Amino acid sequence: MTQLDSSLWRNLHQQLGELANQLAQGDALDPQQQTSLLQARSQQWAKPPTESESQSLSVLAFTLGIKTYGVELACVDTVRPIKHMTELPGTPPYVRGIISLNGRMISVLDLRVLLNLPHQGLADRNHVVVMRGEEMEFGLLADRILGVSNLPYSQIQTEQAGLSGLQRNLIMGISNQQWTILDGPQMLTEPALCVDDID
Amino acid sequence: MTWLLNLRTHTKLMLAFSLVIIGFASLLYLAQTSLRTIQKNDENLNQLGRDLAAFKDFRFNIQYTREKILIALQSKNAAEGNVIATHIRSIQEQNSKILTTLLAHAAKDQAQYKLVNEVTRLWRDYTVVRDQQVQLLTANKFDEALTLAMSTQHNRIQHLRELAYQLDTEVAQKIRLLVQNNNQIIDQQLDRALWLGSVLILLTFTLTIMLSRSIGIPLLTLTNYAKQICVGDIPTRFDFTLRRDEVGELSQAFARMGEYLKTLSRQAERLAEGDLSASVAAQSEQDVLGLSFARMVESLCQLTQEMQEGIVVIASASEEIFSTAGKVASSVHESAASITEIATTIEEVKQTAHLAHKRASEVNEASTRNRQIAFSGCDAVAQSLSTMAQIREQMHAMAESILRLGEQSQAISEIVATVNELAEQSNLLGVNASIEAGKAGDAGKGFAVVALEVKALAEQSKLATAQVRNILGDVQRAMTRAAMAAEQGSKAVDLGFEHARSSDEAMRQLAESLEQSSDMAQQIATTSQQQLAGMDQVAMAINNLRQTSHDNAAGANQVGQSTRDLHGLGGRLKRLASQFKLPSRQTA
Repeated sequence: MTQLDSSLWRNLHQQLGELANQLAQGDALDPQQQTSLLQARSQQWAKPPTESESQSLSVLAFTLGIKTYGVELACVDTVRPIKHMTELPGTPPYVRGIISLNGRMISVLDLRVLLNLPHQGLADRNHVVVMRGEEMEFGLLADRILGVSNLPYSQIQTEQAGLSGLQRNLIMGISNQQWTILDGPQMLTEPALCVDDID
Repeated sequence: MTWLLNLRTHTKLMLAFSLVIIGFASLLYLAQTSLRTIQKNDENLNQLGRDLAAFKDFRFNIQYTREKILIALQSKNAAEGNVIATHIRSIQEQNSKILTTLLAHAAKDQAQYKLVNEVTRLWRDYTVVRDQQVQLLTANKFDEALTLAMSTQHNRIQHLRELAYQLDTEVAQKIRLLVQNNNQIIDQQLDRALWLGSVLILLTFTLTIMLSRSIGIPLLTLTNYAKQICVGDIPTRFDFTLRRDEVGELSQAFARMGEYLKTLSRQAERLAEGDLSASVAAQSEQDVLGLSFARMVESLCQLTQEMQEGIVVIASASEEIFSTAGKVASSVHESAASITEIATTIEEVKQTAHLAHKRASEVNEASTRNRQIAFSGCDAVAQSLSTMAQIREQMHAMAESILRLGEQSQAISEIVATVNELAEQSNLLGVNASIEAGKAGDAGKGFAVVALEVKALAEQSKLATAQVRNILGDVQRAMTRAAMAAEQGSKAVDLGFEHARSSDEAMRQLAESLEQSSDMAQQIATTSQQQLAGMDQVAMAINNLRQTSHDNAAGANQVGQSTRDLHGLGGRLKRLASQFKLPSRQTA
């Protein structure tokens, strides 16, 4: 019992000593670790682009519910976290509310309502993707922002079966990763989504 | 059939033998009758034979005479005539007698008689002519005589021959009939004898069996009984018949005799066992055995009574002596036993005193040792008390450290949350920077790379914060366990401290009482030493007393032994006497 106790105490003292040493050295990485990190980064940058600019589409990817969506980067103004959203009465069901962005009032649309999809999946954190065209400006509700990526046109399947009306106008195609690629310019000119013009 | 069994034995025998005799007599009578008939037939046969022989003689005489005459005629010998005449005279009478006899014998039979008569008449005629022939022969008239012989006489001879043949046939017929009759009678008699003999044998056999069963076997049984009685073995049960003949009476008499003998033997057995109360009635004036038995019982009764009276006196006297001696012996024994007990007890007390003294010394030493141990125990308890106090203080310090550690963990958690928030914002910033770069076109391409890098860094920061949060969770759980252990340890230490304090109190009291008991043990040791000396003196005095009482007890034992023998003798005599049971009128 005493032996066990003494070994326990000895281990404890040793561990604490190591911890104190680590803390004294600070946040500095190991020289070796640092080298490998720098090498990996330079390799990533040195990689030549696989597709030419003209054959690919830059999209912003985000998730909502169970699906992942992509929208053309040119149509996106900015991405913001939703801090406060005001719900408005008398609006169509796909309008979840309005937010204030740099003094402008922007309506927030729910893609799930527009595309007739079920309200499923865990909501991580509410974001809004603000889209801006010459005529229109609105926000799309998003759970998580995945980032910007280049998709070759060859990987986007534009022929869609079983779509009609508004959905056909909004969806440009499906990518290889099963992302739903939204047609940004079409959305920004779609009269059905033009809330402001009703008054 | 019962009446037949009840007949007297001689009547039975006579009946049986007369039956047999009648059988034999009838057999004899039948045989005699048959034999007589045969005898008569034999006589007839004899007579017929004789008659035949006589007739043959008669015929021979005639033939012979004729032959003589014919020879004489042939030889023309006249001298022969006289010889023949003499011969004729000699046979004439014989022939006439034969014929008379035959006639007399044939009187019963008509046919025979007629034949014989015919023969007689023919013979008379013949003799007349023959006499003429002889006269002619004598007168030398041979031719005339020969003529007579060849004609008349020849015819007569022929006729006579035929008659003789008839007569022979007749007689032969008769003889055959007689022989046949005899044979028939003999066969008949043989059959009869066989049948009657068989019946007689059967009858005799049956009678023999019946007689042996009704007389022989019961007699044999009775003989066996008699033999058994001869050797003194009286059969327990007699098989006797109730028949009224001699055998029945004999067996009943045997049964009665057996009963009487059994009664006598039972009586004798009771006498042998000493029971004189019952007697046997004599069967008659002549019953010497019964009378002697009764007299013997009477004299035995008298003898026994006198003996019993004497024995009673002896027994009571010996009993008194025995009881007195017993009382003396028992009191001597009691006193000896008491003294022995006292001696033993004193010895035990002495041993106990020795033991007590030894124990007291030991207790004295032990209490001294205990006192020292108690003092050292007090010191040890005081030390453990102070150690406990130190442990308690250290436990308090540890609890405070854990508390501080918890607060710092809380602070780290808050910092991590802040870092996470920053990482999130950096991510969004990276995305927006990418968007802005995209808007800038080719000029913003370099910026786009930086923006991507910023975004990657933000994601790495998020992963790192997640790891830190996980580790913080582990640390928090370990701290909870440590806090619980520290709390339990603190409580245990408090309890141990209380216990140590109470044991300190107890040790102090124990030391005081041990000191007191040590003093007392010393006093006890001194007292037990004095007690031991006194006990030695008492033991010596009691030993002397015990020796004396032992001598007394030995003497009393001898007296007791003698009186016990005497008493035993008296008792035995009394038991022996009481085995004789006297009839009630004599004991009264």
